[in-house]
Amino acid sequence: MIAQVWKTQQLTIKTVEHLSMVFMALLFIIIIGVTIGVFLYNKKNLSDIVLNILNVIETIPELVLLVILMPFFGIGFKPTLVASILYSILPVARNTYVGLTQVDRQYLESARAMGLSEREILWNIRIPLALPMIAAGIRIAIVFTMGVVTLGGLIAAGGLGGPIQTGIHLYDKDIILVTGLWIGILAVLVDSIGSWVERYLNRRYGYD
Amino acid sequence: MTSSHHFFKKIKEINIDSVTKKYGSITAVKEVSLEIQGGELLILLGPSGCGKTTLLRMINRLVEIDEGNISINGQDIQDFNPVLLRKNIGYVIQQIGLFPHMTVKENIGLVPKLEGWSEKEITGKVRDLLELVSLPPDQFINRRPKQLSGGQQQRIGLARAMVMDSPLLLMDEPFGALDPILRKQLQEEFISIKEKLQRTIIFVTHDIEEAFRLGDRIAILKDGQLIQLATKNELLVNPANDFISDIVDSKQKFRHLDNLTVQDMMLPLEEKYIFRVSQTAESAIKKMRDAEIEFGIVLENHEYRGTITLNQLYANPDKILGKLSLEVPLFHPDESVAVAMDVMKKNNQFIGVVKKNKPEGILLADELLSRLI
Repeated sequence: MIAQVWKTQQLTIKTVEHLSMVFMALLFIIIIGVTIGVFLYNKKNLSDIVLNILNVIETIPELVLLVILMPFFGIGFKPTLVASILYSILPVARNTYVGLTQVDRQYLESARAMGLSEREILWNIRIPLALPMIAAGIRIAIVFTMGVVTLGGLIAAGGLGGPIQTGIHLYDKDIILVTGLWIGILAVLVDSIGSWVERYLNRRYGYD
Repeated sequence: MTSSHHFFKKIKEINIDSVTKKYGSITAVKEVSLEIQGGELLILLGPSGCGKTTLLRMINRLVEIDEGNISINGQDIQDFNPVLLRKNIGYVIQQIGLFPHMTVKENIGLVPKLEGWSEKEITGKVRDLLELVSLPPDQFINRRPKQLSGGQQQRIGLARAMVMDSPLLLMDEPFGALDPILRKQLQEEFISIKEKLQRTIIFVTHDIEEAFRLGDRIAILKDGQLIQLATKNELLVNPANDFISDIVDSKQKFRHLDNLTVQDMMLPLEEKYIFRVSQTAESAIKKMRDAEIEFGIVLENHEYRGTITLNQLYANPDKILGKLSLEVPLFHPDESVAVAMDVMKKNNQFIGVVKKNKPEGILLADELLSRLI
């Protein structure tokens, strides 16, 4: 059953497609999210507004978000990518911001007393010490993105969402089951890589 | 070595001139004036909340002054860029604040690295400093703070504060978090480092024993005000008020015996105590009577030759002092009073001479006791 579904639904190539979408989305999410986090750290008075806006975006159901984006980005990969990004910026941006602002006072105090400028403190002290927190945000983003990309199958984005659609339309339990489980396993695998990275960063940059 | 902004090579003096700091309605430091002399270790002592840390942090502008001003070698610190000023002043805090994501080398070498030193210069400097604080470089240079004990961390903190060779060190209860035995050990090491380096140090503590052990002079603060600035001997013998005498526990001066040096308790060598080798006993007796003293020390060409007492002169009025002078215990000014008293007791002597290269003072057992009680 598994081998047959794998073959007819071309799950190998779909998996590659799926993962490359996830990783591309993550790349954007990390760049944009961390940038927003650092920006908010520099402009703290904007942090409430911006984080609230991102919060509102996150409350929109994934499906609705995809549909809303269709008039602007058409169907396929593009709106899926945009939806993933919009959906996952919040955890990354928020964790970056919190990580940067909540560095323990003793480190900031001794850095200042040594004659480091605020800029040098940001790059040499705050960002490294915020890395475990940022990694935790990225892990949440990974889970979200796996979900959104799968849903992207609905609007012909490709990846493993496609076979699920096919399965639903043909009411083929085997396809739904095999693909669904495989997506689940993939999500767990990717997340455990994330958790490994997070643990490493915690050991390397964590406080205690 | 490219160290761009050395504001001062040596500290001649630091002047704190009626400095005030307010936080809302609370006055943390109130019109404090004091002068720190180059090369000394000045203790800021007082109960918590007395403003000693605030005062310390005003010197490197971690706290900005509300009123008054502070100058280093005559230059107002407000004229310096605060970030550059801090690069010129070492700072050690109780929590140490070693960066957990950096190795020992990266911690100590951070500022040099930002200043553009080469890798080789940084490694060399870090190794020198580790030697100085008695941590074998090979063993410690690549460790992370997590892999160090509290005492080792504090040593690294001290090394880090000294990396830019700043002539001024500010220390905020650096040994406060250590257990008593380790604290004493680090204090002793610190004293020898201090002698080696000849920096000017301002040291905050609430521990009177630590103050007496380390300080050249001690400034006692209370409620943001300076109550008394004096040497330990003066604090013990002439406390300014009850608060000071409570703090230094002047009723139990014996407690401080270990921390007092001969120098603190000696009579300075005045002209009236000095006699010449060639003088006759008779003339010496007359001089002693006129000056109302009963002993003196004998010099030959400014070199110390011995000690004479009035009773002994009466017995031999015809001889010259060179033949009469007696040997008495000699003490170094930095020797502990406790040790000196012990030596005098064992030799059954009531008098001792304090001498470095030339005689500097006289230690009298009676006088010592009366000062200590």
